[in-house]
Amino acid sequence: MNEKNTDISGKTVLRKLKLFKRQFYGFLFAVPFLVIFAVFFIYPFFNGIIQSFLNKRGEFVGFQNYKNILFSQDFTYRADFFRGLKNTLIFVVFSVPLLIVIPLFIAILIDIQPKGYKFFRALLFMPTVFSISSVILMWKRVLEVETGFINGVLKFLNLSQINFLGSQPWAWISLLLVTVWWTMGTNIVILGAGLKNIDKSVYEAASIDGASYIRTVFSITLPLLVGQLIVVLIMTLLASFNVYGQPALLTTGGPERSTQVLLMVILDNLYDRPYVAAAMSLMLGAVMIVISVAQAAIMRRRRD
Amino acid sequence: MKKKFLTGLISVLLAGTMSLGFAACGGGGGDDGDDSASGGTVSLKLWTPITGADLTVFERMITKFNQEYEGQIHIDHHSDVRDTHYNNLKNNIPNNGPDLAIIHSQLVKNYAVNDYIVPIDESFFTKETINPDDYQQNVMSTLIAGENSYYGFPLDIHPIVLYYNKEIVGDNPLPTSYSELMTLAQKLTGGDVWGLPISTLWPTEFTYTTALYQAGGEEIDTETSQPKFNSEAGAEAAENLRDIIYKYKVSPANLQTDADLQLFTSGKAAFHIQGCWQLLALEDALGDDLGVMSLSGLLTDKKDGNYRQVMARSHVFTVARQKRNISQRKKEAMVTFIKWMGENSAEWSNAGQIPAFNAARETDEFKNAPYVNDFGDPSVFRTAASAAYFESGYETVFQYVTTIMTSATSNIAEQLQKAEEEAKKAVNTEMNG
Repeated sequence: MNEKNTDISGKTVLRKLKLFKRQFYGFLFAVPFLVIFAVFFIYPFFNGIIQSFLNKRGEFVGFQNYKNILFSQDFTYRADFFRGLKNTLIFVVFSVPLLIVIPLFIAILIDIQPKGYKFFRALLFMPTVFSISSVILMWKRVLEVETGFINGVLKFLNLSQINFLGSQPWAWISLLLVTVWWTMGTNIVILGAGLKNIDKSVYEAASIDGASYIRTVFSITLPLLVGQLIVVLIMTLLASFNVYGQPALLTTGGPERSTQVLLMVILDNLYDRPYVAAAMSLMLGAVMIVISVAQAAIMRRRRD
Repeated sequence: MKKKFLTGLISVLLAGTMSLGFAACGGGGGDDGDDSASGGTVSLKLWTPITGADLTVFERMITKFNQEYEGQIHIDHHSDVRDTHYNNLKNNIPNNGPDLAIIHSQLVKNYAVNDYIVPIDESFFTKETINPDDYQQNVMSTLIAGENSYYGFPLDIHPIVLYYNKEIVGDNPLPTSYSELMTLAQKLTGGDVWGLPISTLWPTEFTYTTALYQAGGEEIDTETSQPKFNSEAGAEAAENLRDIIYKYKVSPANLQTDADLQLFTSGKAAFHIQGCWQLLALEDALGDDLGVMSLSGLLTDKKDGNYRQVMARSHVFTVARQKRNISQRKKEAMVTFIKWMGENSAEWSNAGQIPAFNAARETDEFKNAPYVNDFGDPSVFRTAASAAYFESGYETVFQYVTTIMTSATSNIAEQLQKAEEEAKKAVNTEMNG
């Protein structure tokens, strides 16, 4: 009996050792990734959290930075943070629907495969590969007063010029226009791939049943595309919250800082007051997590 | 095999840990590791915000210095655009920063207060010396901090100037006051040409400050860094700038950064207010049609007080704080380099900059340099008030000036009041935040 027990436990140990050996080698292969992940993600993340609890002299001050940002009238943080957050939210609220509806519309059109659709698909995706600085350089030439293309045409037609970059609501309209033009390509590709995966026989069945094209889009295409739509929504939402390049380069946050988004405020504080920048970043992160999770939950519930 | 591998791994890890330990032990307050003992070349890292066409001239000077001091001193120059340069300094001093850094004059006191730079005191002057009296005094006087120590020596002084297109201005006499400038600009406005296009964004920093000085105002209190621009002079300065667009109508409204420059380079502007550092680019664009004159007295009709003053900035050589003590040999090398750059700064005028070293302005090279002598009398160039929190206490006003210049009806007093309140908060944030 004892012998049998020893035999069984010996086999178990051997099996565990073999398993450990296999896992150990697997772990070794994962080491390069883990090191990079730890150095470039885990460390900065926790370092950022720690920084947000320190002051200028590196002393621990608890939640003082958070309190200053949210409540203190003595410093510039509160006004800067809430202005930045408000402007970021304005951008998110307007850009996310546009960046889903327009690419969806274009993807559906391309999916019909009209003549020359490959050319238009390439053309519409092309801006995505440009860097933000070249995009802004091009659009400045289009939107500027006196020297810009649109205002040149208006002037030629004896119409009054529009201060696209220096007055509201034109500054926001310009930013949204540039953002949609620059970034919609990725969403077109994702949604286009989703459309290709929809079984064409479903459309045929609907057609036999006498469903109109519009009805097909709303009753077949969109419900079967929910998976891709959730991905696109979350990605676009996060990207829109992280907006920086467009307002920083196109309007420099103006007029009167009405397009100064939160990342610009964070960057303004980064080198002189990293502890404040860290606290602001974490608060922005928290807002993004809450909104993304809520959005995903709502979408899933609707799908179910 | 496995045992050998493990033993090897442990040995490597132990060796690594020990070497880290030794490195940590050696990081105390000793001298920095130059070749002073061996008498080799002293290498100095120099970081600057000099870019564009200026960089070519600056690099040429550095190469000349390195050739002249071959085997003794070598300058390792690294340049970045302005924001990156300052962020790099703040991020890397004292651990990985440069030995020498050029910073703009208005920041010297702030960098001294924040311990980014050290005073260039007697300890630097065992062999080579620099005499502060040899430099333009209105710049030198703003580089003092702490216990009356100089924290930098200026390379140049770069004012804002008034460029004009000779072909458009023609035989008309050049203006000597704000009214004359507006009258002439109105006369020349017509068709495709504007008299004096002016951006509401840049270089407002220079134009507003010059108008403020000429109206008799001041930016801030030098002791407390509290704003002083919210005054009658401050309002007059803002109004004069706004009137260029809406009253005299010699500029299109709402011009973005460099749109005014673009109009001037394309021959659609008679006058253009811009920094002297744009000289080379404008010379390229306009050739012989380019004219330059001082902006002295042209943004006011006053004929008393500071009406002739023109805002200027200065590139200043400073010594970055190091983690270890700076060796004597390195200090001497720094002084040698700074002094050499001053003595040879007539060449720097080729980049459109005025040497801050007095003797350099007396050389034939400087006197014969085209245009630079037309920038005006250096004694009327005024660099920023020397205050610890200059940027916080003053620079918030510029966006409000933009607001004023964007609308014909905005309430100037109200905007300046808002700017003052925000500036006070910004100073408090920088001091205590």
